[in-house]
Amino acid sequence: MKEQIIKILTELRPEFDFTQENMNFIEEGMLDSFDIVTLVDEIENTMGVAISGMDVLPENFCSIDAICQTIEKNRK
Amino acid sequence: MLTSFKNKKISAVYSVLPTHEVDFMDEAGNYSFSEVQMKKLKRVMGFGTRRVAVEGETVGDYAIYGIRQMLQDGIFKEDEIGAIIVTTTSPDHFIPPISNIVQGKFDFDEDVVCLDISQGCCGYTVGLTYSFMTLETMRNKKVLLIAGDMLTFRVSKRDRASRPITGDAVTISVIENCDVENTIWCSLKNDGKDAFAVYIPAGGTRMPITPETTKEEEDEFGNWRGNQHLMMQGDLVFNIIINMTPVMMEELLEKSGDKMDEIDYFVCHQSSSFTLKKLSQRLGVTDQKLFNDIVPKYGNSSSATIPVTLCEHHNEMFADGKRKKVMFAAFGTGMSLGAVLMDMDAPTCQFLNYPHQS
Repeated sequence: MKEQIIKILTELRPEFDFTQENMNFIEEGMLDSFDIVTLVDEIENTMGVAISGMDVLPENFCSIDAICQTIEKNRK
Repeated sequence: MLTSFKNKKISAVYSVLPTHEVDFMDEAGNYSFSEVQMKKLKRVMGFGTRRVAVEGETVGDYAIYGIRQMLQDGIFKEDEIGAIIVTTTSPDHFIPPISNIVQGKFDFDEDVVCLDISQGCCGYTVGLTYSFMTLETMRNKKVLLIAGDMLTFRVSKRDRASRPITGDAVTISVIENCDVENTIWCSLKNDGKDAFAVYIPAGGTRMPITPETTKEEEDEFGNWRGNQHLMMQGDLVFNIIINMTPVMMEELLEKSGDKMDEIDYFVCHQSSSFTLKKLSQRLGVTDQKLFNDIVPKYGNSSSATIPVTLCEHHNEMFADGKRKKVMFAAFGTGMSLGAVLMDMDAPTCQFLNYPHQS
């Protein structure tokens, strides 16, 4: 799943390296709110999971681990 | 406020749109989006075409044009009108109110009630509720509800969050008492703690317009705005909408005794394609029941989007000639939320293109 998320993020913002550990994508300015809604849409289209609107919060998309947790939570 | 009314209907809705159309892709140079981002946002957010007024045109101009056409079409007679209610955040002037300007342009009675309500995206549901309240004291009269906004010129050309979706439109609805038995449920809610989530700092008495207020500055996300421009905390607004709106709608259903799947149509404020997609997912309803196609075609025209949606879809909504159970829901400046649940027969609906002078 992580590779798939990195692929989506890299396509969205090719100027950043999303493979680095301990990176906060929001605080580092790598993702803004438009990137998050686009990311949610891409995840829904490619991974077959609907992300609840209540989970569309910056803290849920600030790292690869946070994104994986958000996806898993919405799969349940 | 959660209340109910009996035996009232929306008999006609006219939507007056600017003829002038703008395409998001033609404005690419104004925003700091990459080509990849633009293509994706066009689909996800509904950044498409939008109808835009010519600078100097007003809500009053469009309302007068629409009312003149309604009179010509025989939709109502001037002496049948008991009240003119306007909901907008784009007044023609500080003084006088738009409702008084409109009243003076036609042969309406002198005792017609004129009321302007300062409401944005939630305006149609607020206006409907006030119209029903007014009709309780006017058994044989009708209410003209004018809901519309012209915010394009209050949004910075380089505001990539708000400009790509902002459209202009003015609508006129005729609301009246009827003999057909029905109960209408209305809910209005407010969250004034977040009043400044959508905000135009300058232009009122707190911050009069000066050369200083016209200066634009760039924020951390690449938006350029001055204090005369609309400022929106998009994340906060989205979270208020997505948390509060479904709860309000479910409360209304509980009061009315209806179930979610018994509602034929949800006609919601058309804020952005993404917000409406998340709202329909949360409610568990499809795009066939909760329309989500107005923003990419006409733009978000604030209090006008619900009546514009009615005009766009009334043919399919009422194709079988039967009454429909419809819930209107809106959310916006204030922060205000409103919902109206009613049984509807097909109103007379019409789009008009405003003839620009230049």
